[in-house]
Amino acid sequence: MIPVDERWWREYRSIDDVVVYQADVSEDDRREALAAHMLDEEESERSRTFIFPGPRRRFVFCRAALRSILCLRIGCSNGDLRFGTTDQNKPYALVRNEPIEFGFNVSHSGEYGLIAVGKPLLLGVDVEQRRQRRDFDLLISTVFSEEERNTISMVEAERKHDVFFDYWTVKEAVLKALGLGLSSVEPSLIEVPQELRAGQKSCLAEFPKISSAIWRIEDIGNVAFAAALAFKVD
Amino acid sequence: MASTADRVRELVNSNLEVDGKSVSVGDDLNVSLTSLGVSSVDIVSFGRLANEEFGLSLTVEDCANIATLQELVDRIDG
Repeated sequence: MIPVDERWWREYRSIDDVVVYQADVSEDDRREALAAHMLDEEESERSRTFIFPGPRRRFVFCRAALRSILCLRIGCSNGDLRFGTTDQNKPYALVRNEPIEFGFNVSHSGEYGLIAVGKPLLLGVDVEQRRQRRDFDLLISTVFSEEERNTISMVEAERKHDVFFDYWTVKEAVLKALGLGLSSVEPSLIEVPQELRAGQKSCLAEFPKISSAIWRIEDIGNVAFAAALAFKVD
Repeated sequence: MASTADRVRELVNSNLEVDGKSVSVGDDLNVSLTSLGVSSVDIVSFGRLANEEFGLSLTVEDCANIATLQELVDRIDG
């Protein structure tokens, strides 16, 4: 177990039964070696598939932090924990071959990593480091619904990229909660709830084109990164 | 005239970045965008660029389903 003062993650937000942790994924060779040591063979193999060091490091730091967080919560040892993915690539965890009874999800982008753990089994988190892009207009026309495009068209130019990432993370968080991906659902089918488009940070929402459930959606971003949390409400 | 593989490589190397640095893909195109570590936003953007460059009509779902750059080359040439 990683001693408290050496942990590279800390609690970032707590919402109902869900805790979101923020991981420090910045370069640190000693820490990376420590994190890599916590991974099992399958995860180590996966980490080696990343061609560049940055994405590899983010995966290693976030997966090792997730392992520690789950072990503390469950009261198991690192060796008891194993991960797999469903056919749709949704990760699941087993402790001594029994599925754990709560949800978790991980996202990382640039310098930021977020790990959400909580009671809802259908739980998704997404983070995107805020940055300028040359292709916002192209992306907006590709991934947003007409209503979303109308809202964005009213945003002042200098805020457009922030709003793009805010909306994008909502869509991704919902997709991830459902265990779906861009490979199976057009992102425009998940419309960012009107409440969030009006500036609220939290709301209940339905996405009838892809799910019959009611969802809690939280904008948990800040000035450095856009981020959203989505989980199914019972 | 440049081959499809060369044009795909050029499209990747000129447009995709990881950690603020341009991606540099070599001869072997049996690499996935995921293994390069590009974001999902970049995957969507790359699909649109490929549509423009090669006259394709890839959807977001299509882009996310392309396993490797070689698969994209094969699809274009196929």
